[in-house]
Amino acid sequence: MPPKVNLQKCDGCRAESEALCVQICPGDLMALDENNGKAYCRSARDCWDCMSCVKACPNGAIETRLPYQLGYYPAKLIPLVGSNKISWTVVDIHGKVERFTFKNRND
Amino acid sequence: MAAKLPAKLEEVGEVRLETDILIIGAGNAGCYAAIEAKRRRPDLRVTLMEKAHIDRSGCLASGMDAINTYIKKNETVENLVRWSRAQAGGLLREDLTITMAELLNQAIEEWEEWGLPIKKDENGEYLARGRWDIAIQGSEMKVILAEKVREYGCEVLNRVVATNYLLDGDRVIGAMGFGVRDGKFYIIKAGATIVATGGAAGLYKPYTNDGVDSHHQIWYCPFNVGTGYAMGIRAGAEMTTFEMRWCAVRTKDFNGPIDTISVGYKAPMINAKGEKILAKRYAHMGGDASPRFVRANAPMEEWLAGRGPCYVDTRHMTPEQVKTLKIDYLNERPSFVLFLAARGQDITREPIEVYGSDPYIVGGHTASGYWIDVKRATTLPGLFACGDVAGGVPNKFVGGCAAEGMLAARGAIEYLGSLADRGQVDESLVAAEKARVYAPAIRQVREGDGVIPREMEERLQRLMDEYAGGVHQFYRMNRERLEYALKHLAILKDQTRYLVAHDLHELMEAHEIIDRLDVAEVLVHHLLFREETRWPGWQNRVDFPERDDTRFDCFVNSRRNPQTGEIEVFTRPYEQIIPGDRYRP
Amino acid sequence: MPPKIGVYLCHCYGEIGKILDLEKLSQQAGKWRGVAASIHYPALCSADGLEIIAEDVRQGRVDRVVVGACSPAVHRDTFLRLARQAGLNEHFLERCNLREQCTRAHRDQPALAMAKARNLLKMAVGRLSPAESFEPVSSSTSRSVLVVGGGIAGLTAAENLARAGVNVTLVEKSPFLGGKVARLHRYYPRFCSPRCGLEVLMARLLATGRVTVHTLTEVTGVRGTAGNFMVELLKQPRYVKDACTGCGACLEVCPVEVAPSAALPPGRQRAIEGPGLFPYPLNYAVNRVFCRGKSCSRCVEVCPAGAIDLDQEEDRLSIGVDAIILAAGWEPYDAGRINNYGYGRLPGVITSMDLEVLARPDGPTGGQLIRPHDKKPVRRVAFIQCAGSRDKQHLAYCSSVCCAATLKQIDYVRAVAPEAGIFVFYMDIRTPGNLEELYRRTREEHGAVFIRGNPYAVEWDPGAEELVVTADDTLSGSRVAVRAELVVLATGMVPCAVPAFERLEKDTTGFITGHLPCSPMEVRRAGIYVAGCAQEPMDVSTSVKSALAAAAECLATIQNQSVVVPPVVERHKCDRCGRCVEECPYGACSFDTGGYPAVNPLACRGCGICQGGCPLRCIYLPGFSSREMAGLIEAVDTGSMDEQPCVLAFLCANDAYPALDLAGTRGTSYGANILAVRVPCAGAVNAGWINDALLSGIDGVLVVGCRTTECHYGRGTSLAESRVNNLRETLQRMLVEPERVQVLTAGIEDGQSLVAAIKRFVKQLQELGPNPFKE
Repeated sequence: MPPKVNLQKCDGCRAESEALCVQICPGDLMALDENNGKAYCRSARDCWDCMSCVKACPNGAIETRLPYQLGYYPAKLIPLVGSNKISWTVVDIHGKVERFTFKNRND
Repeated sequence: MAAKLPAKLEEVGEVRLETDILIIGAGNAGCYAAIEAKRRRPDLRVTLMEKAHIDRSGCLASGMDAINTYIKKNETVENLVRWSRAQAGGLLREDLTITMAELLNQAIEEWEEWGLPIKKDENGEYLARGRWDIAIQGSEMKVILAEKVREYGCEVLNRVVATNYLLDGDRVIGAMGFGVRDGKFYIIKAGATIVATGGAAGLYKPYTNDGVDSHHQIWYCPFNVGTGYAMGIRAGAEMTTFEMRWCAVRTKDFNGPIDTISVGYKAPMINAKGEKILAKRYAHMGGDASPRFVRANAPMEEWLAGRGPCYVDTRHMTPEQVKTLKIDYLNERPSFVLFLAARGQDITREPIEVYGSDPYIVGGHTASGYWIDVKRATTLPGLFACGDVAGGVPNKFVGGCAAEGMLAARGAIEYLGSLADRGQVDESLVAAEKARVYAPAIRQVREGDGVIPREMEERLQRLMDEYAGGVHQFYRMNRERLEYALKHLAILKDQTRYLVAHDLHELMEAHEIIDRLDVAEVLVHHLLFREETRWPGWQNRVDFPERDDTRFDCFVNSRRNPQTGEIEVFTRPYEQIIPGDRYRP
Repeated sequence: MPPKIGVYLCHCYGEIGKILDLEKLSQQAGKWRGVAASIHYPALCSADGLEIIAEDVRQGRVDRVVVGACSPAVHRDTFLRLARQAGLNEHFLERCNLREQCTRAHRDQPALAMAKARNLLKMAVGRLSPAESFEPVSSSTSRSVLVVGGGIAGLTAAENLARAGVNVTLVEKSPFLGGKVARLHRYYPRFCSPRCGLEVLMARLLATGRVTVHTLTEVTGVRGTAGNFMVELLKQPRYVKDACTGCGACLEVCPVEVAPSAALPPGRQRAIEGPGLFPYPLNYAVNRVFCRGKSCSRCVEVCPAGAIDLDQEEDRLSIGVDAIILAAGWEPYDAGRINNYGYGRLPGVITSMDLEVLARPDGPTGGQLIRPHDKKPVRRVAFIQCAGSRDKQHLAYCSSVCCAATLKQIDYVRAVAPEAGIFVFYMDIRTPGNLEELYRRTREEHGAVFIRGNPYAVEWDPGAEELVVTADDTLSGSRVAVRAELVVLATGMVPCAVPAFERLEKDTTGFITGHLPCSPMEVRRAGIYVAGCAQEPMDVSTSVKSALAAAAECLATIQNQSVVVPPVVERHKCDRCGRCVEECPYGACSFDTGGYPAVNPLACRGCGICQGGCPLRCIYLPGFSSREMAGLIEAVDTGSMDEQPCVLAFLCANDAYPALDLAGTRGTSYGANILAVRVPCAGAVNAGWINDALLSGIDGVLVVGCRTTECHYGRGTSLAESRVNNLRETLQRMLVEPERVQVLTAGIEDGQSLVAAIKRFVKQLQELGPNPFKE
């Protein structure tokens, strides 16, 4: 399901030729709202949850939410991307926090 | 900002390019093909045409946690063929599997050198996760590959959707398509063309479908819609073994992979009564090592018999194992970890429920796809195929698709060397294709009324699910249902002229449904033809429940006549190279 | 080839060696991956010490060098020279600060200092292992400069550049060169004619043969950056061709009289005008605002040279230049807007610039002191200072030259009217330096009466046909009314508008400034320099100085090698998003033909703001690649801090880093758990490094920049703040305390307060406990 965009943090990648989430989404699902210049997902149903946009957003403005039909509120999964490693923080519906940090590039 | 839709055909801008090697689809196989072509022949212009963005397109968008085929020390190419042959119910192209297997390790080792972290054991060898599997941390593996493609100097056209080949007679001299961002019509002429568009998802209705949010909660990349198959079908290429569908046991509701759990952590599949399904009921097929179609079918059979739900039993796992397991998922499908959190599930106490997925056509897992030779040449001169779109080699997976990309590049280079001329572009075909591509947009402007792609997609998926053995029908089908499906597919194909598209994204969706219809039609013909049940789970003919080696120990192939649209289905014999019992590893 | 790193540790004559066990450190370092040699020596900066390193490099024993000694802010040249002499690429030499930020700061905690030294050395080695070598980039040899404005500043800059061999294009919007200075009667301090100085300047300029002058021309567009500007010019028709001999026959027949200003009657000036006393160019020009056009054509008929062509049309041209000097000058503040002084309404109320015209022998009164409209002799003159200046209703600022200009004009009055009464209304007389002598002379020798008070009003007494100026004399406390035939308003200076440069950064008064203390002449778009009154109000001699300074800075940019090695772009990683192009404060970063960012070495000032914002970390300054920074950060042993939280501090090299050095030197102790990384600017810190630090188990990260208004690169600190704020919000969602990442600011002398702030941060971290990412 849909990437949820934090409108306070999203800056539409400013004057860039194409916002990074718009550029990267394998399903061509992210677009910029012409009214406010912020990113949105044009079709929640078509998202594959690959989280490419979440990882690409330079402002950390996008969060993937699971479709409610499949899982309950308010679980979270948030990455922090380093140079050659990534860390994921997951918070389950009971508030339990787990963190996973691992290398994702050799260089 | 994306361009606006054209209101008239004359408004459509054109981009004309000439290249040496055109690769359609910049996924794993396409990228390897590009790199191999460019490093063998740096003088050649190598162009990738990609409907999304190369950094995250194709099946590896969110990453991968294992390479399922790597030939370890003490293993051989022959052993891999034997194992793969048995897994596929005895039916694969041994010549293709051997040539693929010979390059497997090179592809994977190179990937590591370019930056992909592969886990090591205490001896510094790749960490094994089963007989052929090794564990990786591949969340960025596609980005790493894309960087390499650019470093080698390949040309990448992102956001350009291929729609049809450019033909000179039956010879492929490039491809046409349109830009999802610029709205322009692309006519790319090439010396040789490699198709690497992946398999087909979205032919069947997923059970996770809830209309609003979770339609794409499926296992296979939903943006792979079978365009490469469809273009080949329309051009008259020979296709093989579509009836060997890929239906897999996946985590229930999330449709996540389970090899990570069942192979990586030796978690047995159990039914509602706690019985180990494979050991108890499929010992004769190899128990836990049963062929994949058996494993796909087993929990569905249990469910039908009133012993569902079924699980992979994770309750023996230690907290450390669970942590590693979650890291594996974070490398492949991170949102599965979110799913567990959203269920508040502790898998050391509650096992993970499993269920069958919707069926896919995926040449990387089964043998469906283009009929090719060892050089990865299709039956259309000038066209090569690799990866999920190429048939004959089940169980090639990530490493095999990469290896096959390299083989296709070598084949294409050799073909280029043999060419006397580069062929002639028939402008009338170009004009006709341009009109076909933009028809939904122009109809939207002129008529304003019609069928939106999503409606047609849902109609197709419902039809296939109910009449061509979808997951809601426990993959079962018979002649009558398949004929019903064909009848309605014909209506749907005729209805495509009513498709309307409101923007370039929807124009892409319109062509996705058009392509899916062409693939579905061939698929149903294949399912009808094979009057036996060779791979219960993948292909269950309830009217022919047994395997029939006298008639069907062979490949079922098809070819659509480009002039008449008739689909001719025929057989090709099996050729055994590696001796031994084809049904045992 | 794996790197062969040499680790050289300096005792600094005991200052380091007494606190740290260098023998032990050097043994430990010798075992690290990539380290080929590790020694310690009494003084590495001595000739002997340097030779040891150089010899190891020359013999191939090491190919990268870590110098563990004093701060990188000192002995910079010493070690750079060493690198050059030994044939070591300067980017393969890494300085490790074991003195200012280790032994000096932690002299009372030798064990912790030892742990910190080990960390700092490991970080240096970790960074150096994947480092790449870079060569400085040389600029092109084509050299051309556009000078906008043909006044004294523009001419001075043009003359200097042309003499230095630069091809200069000079554009002037009016028909003649010389600007305001050419219209002055005299200028101080020597009271000579400005034409004299202008003539000399012009002669030297023309003698270079390197100048192309376009009068009646304005800049309509500017694209590109230093070394590569494209400038669009619009040239208005002059209607007088070069055949003009300047005979003046046209002037005799032109029927349209033109007044020099709102307060002055027409004199000899007509709709066709000549060059006046500074004849560049010599040919006349028709002012089409006043000219009646072809229906009149008397001038056309009378011109013996047939030089007048009323059909001329405007011309557009574009030129390429390497740099631009903006010397567009000033206009007097519109005195008509000061209602109570009656300018343009009351006869005899004029501005100082009007008085310059009146004083000139070619002015409407022929230089005599008579009232222009009725020729009445002037017996009393009143000057009103700060007319419209230092006044929020008008100009809030002081134009700095008006006081001295009035004193100069009193000299004009005295010269022609020894008996005239002279009154000056003022708020403060500002005559810095030797101008005080002028003030003294005016008071004591010329007998001018100074009245401290801002007049309420200037009124006309119709009976006496005189002007009456009323004011409160704030010294005597009484109201005064002064009668005068002439009232001179000392109006202030307003910068000339140059629409093509409207987007340049300006100060609150509308003048275009560079970074005033650091690079005053270069504006925030590299390659554009500002000279003269476009920058701030100034007198003629200051204008000349500013023009010389602008020319010098401009020359340094266009002629020499670039001062920095510009950032590298890893094209295969770049997705062409354009954030670097957008955020570069100097416009140095632009898209190349492939759509990738390309950095213009002439325009780059090395701030690294591009690398700070790059989402893919594929643009970086040498030493700051993601591999080097990951190597540096991963080398930190977070467990060596004696239970103290581990802090990584990215310190701006301009202020914060030397401030911390200074604190250590003064013996201000702070925790040995603070590991500083020197960065060119707070804006150069990429959020990915902070992520790396947190993921490596570092408990807290500081980014310390200059105070927001003092950032040497303009937006560095504020960009760092917005990036860190984004990260902090993400951390909050991840249930990681956002306080673990903070941006601080510090000036170069704020070592004490920086240390105090760091201590507060450490205390906060102690309360928070260990980094939640720590496994």
